[in-house]
Amino acid sequence: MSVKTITKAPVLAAAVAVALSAAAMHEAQAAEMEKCYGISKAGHNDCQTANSSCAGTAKMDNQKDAFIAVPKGTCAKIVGGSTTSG
Amino acid sequence: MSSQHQSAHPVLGPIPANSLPARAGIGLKAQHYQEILERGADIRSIGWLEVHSENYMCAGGPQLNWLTALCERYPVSLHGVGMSLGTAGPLDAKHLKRLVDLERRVEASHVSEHLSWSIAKNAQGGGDYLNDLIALPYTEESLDVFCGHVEEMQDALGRRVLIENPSSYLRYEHSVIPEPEFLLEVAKRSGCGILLDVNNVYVSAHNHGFDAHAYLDQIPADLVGEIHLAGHSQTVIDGRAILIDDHGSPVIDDVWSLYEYTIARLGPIPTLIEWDSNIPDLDVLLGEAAKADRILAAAHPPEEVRHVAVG
Amino acid sequence: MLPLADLQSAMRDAALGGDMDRLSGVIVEDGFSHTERLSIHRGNTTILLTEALAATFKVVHKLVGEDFFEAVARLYIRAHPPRNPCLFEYGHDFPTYLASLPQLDGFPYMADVARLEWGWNEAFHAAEAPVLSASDLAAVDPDDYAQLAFTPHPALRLVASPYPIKEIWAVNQCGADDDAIVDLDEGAQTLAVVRPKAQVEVLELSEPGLTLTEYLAAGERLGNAVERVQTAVPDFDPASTLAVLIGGGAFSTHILQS
Repeated sequence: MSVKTITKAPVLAAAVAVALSAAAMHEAQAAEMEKCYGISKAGHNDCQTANSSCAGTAKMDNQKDAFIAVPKGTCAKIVGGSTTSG
Repeated sequence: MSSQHQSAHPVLGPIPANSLPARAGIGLKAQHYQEILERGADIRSIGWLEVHSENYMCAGGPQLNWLTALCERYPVSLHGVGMSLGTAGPLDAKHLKRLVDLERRVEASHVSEHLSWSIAKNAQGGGDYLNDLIALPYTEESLDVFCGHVEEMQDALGRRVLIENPSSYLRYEHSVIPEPEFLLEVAKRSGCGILLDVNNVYVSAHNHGFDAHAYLDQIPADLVGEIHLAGHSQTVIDGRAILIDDHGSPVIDDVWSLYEYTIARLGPIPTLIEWDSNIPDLDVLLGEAAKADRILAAAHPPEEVRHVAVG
Repeated sequence: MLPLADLQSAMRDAALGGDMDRLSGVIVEDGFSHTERLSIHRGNTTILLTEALAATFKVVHKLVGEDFFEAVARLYIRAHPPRNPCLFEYGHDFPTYLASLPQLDGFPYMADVARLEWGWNEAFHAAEAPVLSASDLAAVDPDDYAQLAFTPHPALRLVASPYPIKEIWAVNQCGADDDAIVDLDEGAQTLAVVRPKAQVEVLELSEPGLTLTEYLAAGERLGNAVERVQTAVPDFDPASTLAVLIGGGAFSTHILQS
């Protein structure tokens, strides 16, 4: 199949037809999950977006600028690749 | 600027219908959106809600939708933390426009800001936002800057705003005006009302060694549109304690006493329970609000006092 | 007497880790030195902005751990303080900043994970708009499909990485399996971030599918866009990309361009 023939209208029509029926199925599933007010339950991220606040903090910033430790979080879960270090 | 100062109370009008009830309200946190909506009428101790304006200045999205849904149930007050009215130089026009848009969207009952600054102008002509409410030196220069900005904010909104007394951790050698006097002069020149934060008075009184009752006694009832209550914490530096207004714990007994004293003197005034760090369960907030409501219910409005119009 | 503008600029420098001595004699000492009093404000600025960054870049925070994140955030805040008080808009160049850090040389996926989190954050706060659905296109004559042009939904963001960043992102969400391991050799991921209803979703595209999405988001006609992608990838079939985009709510409206 050549580059020219694939973009002919019937081929594009078939691709879009497939896309539309698949998309319609996805939408139907999504609609079932909708909650009252058109607002779904607070997701895992929703409660913690960056907020401006009028409160100060009693924590003190005692760290020196120059020191950066080695990452010690969950990046240990990421393995493989050519340059990974734990 | 001086011509504006002569026309005191430029945006005063009749007491608007959308002013807050003289009851306790709570600071709205994302953690509690769903529970407040679901429990609905069963929650009697929420008279109204307050949000930090800056958190809702987005174009759209779930947070704004939650707020819109809650606005249908409760009066909402917009409490700004970023206008930086005390910054030398012009206000951020874009930020002011965003506040006006939000105020129209939520039909806010109150709009308030702080007697402080948060933005320092930078070499690029913009400003660096320090995410902190820093006390001003109380000078004639600061008074001119601050009043000009309050007037600009009120003109843009077409309504009176409330200005809150700050918690402070430092004072300046060149400050010449006592804070309550400065605040009253701002109200007189700009026509704004006062948001009296009783915990802030307590915190600053401790940190700077002044008498909290004497401060409160200087604030006239007809200027106070709203009261704030919050918890604070204590930091020890070199063996000495300084109080930090971190809104992360219950209101302490001494502040409740100051609040009772204030309400007995000023009459019932809409009162917010603020809690912004270590956010507790909704019921803990409601318990604090119920406590404020009991004090409000026991109070009688002093004769011939009309509370500040906020509209 | 220090003019207000000069005082504020000196205090900004102090809050952002700079010299405090210019304020000696300006701040009342009264029991605490000026440096002790100013360090309360330095703490407010540094710690509260670090918390704001940690809220936006939750996965990066989790990946590098508390100490490392705080150290990096402190440097970033001082070099790039927020220019506006809406903190949900703070951190757009944090991914680039991460990419510049030699300490992260061994973690080449980190900046891309941060880009995905920034895309999520932008999608979350984007304007409301209609979502184009499959049924909206039902009335279009198949002969006219090549003339279809779309406006992207305001929430649509595209993120591409040579690493499986969606998996890395997913295993670091609350409630994810603690023992889950991601193999970097799973390879590249090209993602579309969308917000069809109230929830932000992350969709996977193929690499040519991402290119097609970019063309369509720029307003190009479907026929032209597909043809351009096929110039580079002759056997590209747009069906699955279009199904993901339309089903996922990537577009807001369509028109037929003659």
